[in-house]
Amino acid sequence: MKPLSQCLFSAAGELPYGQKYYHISYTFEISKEYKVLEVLLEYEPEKRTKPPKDLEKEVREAARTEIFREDPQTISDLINLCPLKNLINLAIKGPDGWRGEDHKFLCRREICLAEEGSTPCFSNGKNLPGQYELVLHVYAVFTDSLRYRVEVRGL
Amino acid sequence: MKQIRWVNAQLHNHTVHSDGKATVPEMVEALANRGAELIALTDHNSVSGHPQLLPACREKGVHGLRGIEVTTFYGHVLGLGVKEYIDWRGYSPECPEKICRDIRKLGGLAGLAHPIRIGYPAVTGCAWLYHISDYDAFDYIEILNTSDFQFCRNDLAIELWINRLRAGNTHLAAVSGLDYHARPWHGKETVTWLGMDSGIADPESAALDAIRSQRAIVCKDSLIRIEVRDSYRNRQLPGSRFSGTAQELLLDTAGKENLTVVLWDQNGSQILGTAKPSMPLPRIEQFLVVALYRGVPDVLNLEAISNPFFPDCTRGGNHPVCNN
Repeated sequence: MKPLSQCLFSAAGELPYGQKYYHISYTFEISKEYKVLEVLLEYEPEKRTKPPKDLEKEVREAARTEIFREDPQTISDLINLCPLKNLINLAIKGPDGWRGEDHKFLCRREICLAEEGSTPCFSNGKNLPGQYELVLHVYAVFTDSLRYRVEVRGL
Repeated sequence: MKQIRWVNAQLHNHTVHSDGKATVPEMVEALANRGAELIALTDHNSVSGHPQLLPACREKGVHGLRGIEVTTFYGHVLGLGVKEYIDWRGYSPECPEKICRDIRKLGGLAGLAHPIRIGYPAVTGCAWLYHISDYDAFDYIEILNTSDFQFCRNDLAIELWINRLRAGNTHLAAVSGLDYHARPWHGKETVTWLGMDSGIADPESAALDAIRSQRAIVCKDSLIRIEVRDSYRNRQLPGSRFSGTAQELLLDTAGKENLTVVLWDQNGSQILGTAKPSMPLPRIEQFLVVALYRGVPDVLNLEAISNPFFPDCTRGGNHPVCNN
């Protein structure tokens, strides 16, 4: 039987359309060592279903200034490439340093931190008591708004 | 005298420890099967795959090189040799040099990844949006990134590198990056052939030394040897600083025919002609970069490009010798 886990920290928030290049940091204390820490990040919606009105303008500007292209085929290809998926990464720091960062762009992340078998992107190690930090790296919000939730549980 | 061995290197690769699809052993196997002899692991903001890299490489009889791709909102910087996570929140668009300093503090080499690439809203974070005040902060530039031919302007990346050499940043090495993510479209794109010093026992240190010394030739696949014979009859490798003039270009095209040779130096570029094993060189000003193209000199036809040779250096360097 899986032992009951204890909620050690939780937070939630909402971000507006157009939010990008933004860091959100949460710090919290853990009073004892846990064999396993489970960290959950989830946000919704995952993506925009209809392109925003200014997408073509933004793509055209990016193509012009970043890859020096303005031809219609390139612009069209780029617009088709745009997934319009909201993009947030999660980094975790423990009392003995950074455990890693999850560069995956999935709208739900369940991360396990342990001495062995931590989720890829995060280093194995003891979950020592002390101060922890969760950092949300907000790359882009393409939807009208984005609601997120983070939770840390100890086992 | 240094004994140099040319090594097929893939210097920019991702796994499930960031947004790649392959595990570390799968990535190593896939690249070793393509012929790679030295495989770097450069996951986005992650070093958690490092403990698996060297054992996986040993299993396949190749060398591993641990690193990271510092992946920020405003562009990516490769840190070959870095074995720690780097907190990138403090980097501002005005000072990318700080990223390089942090990489160097951790014993790594700082490489400008895919310098001309599209970003937001198509591929957020991938474009280079930083303002570089001091290119000396960087150790190398990824002149060919082959993860996305369509939206990554390798032609302009090569031009950027040549222009920086002309501006005096002559230490900047040029490498290629497969940017492996185990995606369906990976082909057999390009290889960085590193001239590794056999006298350096640790392969990771030897690879970093080769890049730092600009002892590298970027090739489409098999090694095309590009050397220069100087006025003292010494054979010089890319990256060499030597006191004589550059007299003769020595090419071994690995059986490839009808390659067009293009030269760049401080003052401009010129087509030297169709590649032959030995070709007299014109007067070279300050540095010489040699490229070979299949027919028309266009980046899509590029077969090989050397790192710079530096003739007429008042302080002559040593003369490495190849042993493969």
